[in-house]
Amino acid sequence: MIEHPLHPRARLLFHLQAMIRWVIVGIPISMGTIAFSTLVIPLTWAIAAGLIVGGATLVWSLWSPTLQYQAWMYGVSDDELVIRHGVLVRRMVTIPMVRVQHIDTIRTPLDRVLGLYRLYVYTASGQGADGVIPGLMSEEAAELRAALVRVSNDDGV
Amino acid sequence: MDGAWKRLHPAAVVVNLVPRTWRVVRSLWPLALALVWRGSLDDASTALAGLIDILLVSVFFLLTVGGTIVHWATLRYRVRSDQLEIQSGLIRRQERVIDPARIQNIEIVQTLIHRAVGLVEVRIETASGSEVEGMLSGLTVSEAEALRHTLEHHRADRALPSMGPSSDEPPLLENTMAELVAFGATSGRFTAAIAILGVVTEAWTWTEMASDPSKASEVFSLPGALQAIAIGLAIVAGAWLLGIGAALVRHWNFRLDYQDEGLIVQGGLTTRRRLEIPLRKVQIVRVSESMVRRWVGYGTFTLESAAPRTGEGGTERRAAMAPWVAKGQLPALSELVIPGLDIDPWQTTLRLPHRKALSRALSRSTVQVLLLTAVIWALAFPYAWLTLAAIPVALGLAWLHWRHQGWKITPHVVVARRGYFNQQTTVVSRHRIQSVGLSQGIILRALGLGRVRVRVAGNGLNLPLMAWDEATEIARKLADIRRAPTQDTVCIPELDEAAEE
Repeated sequence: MIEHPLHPRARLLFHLQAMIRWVIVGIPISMGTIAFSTLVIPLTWAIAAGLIVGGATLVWSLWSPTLQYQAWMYGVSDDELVIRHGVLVRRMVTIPMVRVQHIDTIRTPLDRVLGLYRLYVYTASGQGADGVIPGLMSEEAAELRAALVRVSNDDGV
Repeated sequence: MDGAWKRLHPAAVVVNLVPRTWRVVRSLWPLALALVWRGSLDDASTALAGLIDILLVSVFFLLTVGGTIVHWATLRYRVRSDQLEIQSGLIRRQERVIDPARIQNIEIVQTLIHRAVGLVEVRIETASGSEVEGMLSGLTVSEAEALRHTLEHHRADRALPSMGPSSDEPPLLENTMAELVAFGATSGRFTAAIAILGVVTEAWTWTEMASDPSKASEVFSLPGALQAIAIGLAIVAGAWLLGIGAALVRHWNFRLDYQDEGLIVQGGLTTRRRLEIPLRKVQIVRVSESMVRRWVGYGTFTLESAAPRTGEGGTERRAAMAPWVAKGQLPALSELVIPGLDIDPWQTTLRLPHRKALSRALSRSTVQVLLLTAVIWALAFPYAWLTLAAIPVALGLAWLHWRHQGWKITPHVVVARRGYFNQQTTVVSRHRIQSVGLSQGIILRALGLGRVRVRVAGNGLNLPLMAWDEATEIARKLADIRRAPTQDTVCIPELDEAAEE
């Protein structure tokens, strides 16, 4: 089975997502750190603590997208779909092709700006999407989708 | 019956009114709460408000009654060209078509109200959605049987068990009242009660002593201790009796039958249930043996189809459960519901979790106790260091938990076991696997371990921790189900025994 990396543009997607996450989560956390620290330590130290927290989360937000991109991998064979991803928590899922029930193609606003597609692969397990593949270009997504729905057989239910 | 529309029995209006009203009340509980709260304000100015309240309540009640009548008046069902069709609704018209071959299970429920008017509720479930797909509340018994008969006649294959009052054949399993009492007495509720009690008394003792250290002697003095023990015993006994009572009410006259490649489970004191699951729809089998049950040699046998979920009307429902099964019968029963079960999950030696999982469990429980000690100490409780005595206990528990996990993958099934105090053995057929997921957090990565979750329709099973490399190999092999027209010819690659030590 050949394992494909995501399209290089997915790296940009991860960077943008990380930045948005930092603005929404990282900044409030460092503000919160300052607010709470002032209760126990002097203001200057509290600000320093807040800056450290904010800086650390910023560094992680700048660094992790690269790791995230490197960790993403998907492979399709005649029999199965394999997806690997995750930086802090490494994950892998294998889905037998005959079990694929349906595929959702979803484009978030960010995906649309970057011209990317993401596929959600569902089986009959009924516990949400069994596999998600983000950062696909149009042709890639179409090809993968075609490969996944081509096999339709015994659903095991 | 073919082609002709059939309707619910007129008495269905009465039968359905109660659960429907209950559902309305439940969905409008903030309003109800507001009404009660307003009603409690005893004030002259609320007289008008009270009138409005009464008006509101009666409007909702009338709407519910109207809804029930409309439901009864508009609901029609028939079987035509091999499909079950159900129509309902006046303004929002709904037509549903169910393919008999897709039916996961059929449940016939009879609550006290149903029984009073001699009707039954038929629940037909497929694998889709989160609700019961075909809900026909208010058929006479003969109508229900006729429907069953027709569905059987129209289905594509012979997998649906035939109807009829349980045939002359002896049941596969029956539970007497004494056995049900034993089941209730050994249920988890009892263990949980003891655990809760332990925590409560512990916390109580410590807070008493913390608030006034001089009280410590008082607490340990005879009357105080006796009182505490008496209260504790009362709580335990109450929970225990409740558990026994619940078991009796739920499984009264329990009976398990095997008919035409399907299982029929019947039982219940106030609400009578009859659940039928075609064997080829069984997804997962779970046997739970608590410590006491293991001692006396019994277990509880549960099997799930792809539609095991909360039924409409708030009645929680497990797929099919045989409360009290002798240990000797468990392998045979498992083999019956999982055709091709090639091992006896209770005789075979299962593989232990990875050795490193033990060190992880041991260090984890030590850290937990230390953290607890730190918290208690930080809260300035005296004798906080006493908590450290819990370390050996925690280590022992961690070892027990590790030692009593196990797993095995054979050419046909995946078996996983966990728990010492409440041992659970789960078996799925490899034909049923939908996907396999692996995960590994930071600590697990440092140890080179991974977690495997095998998903089947509606549920799944977790394997104990194992080496990451082995986990990825297993995930690939389990997912390698070759394309095949029927499950009988699905070719499953063998996992080489060498990999299993």
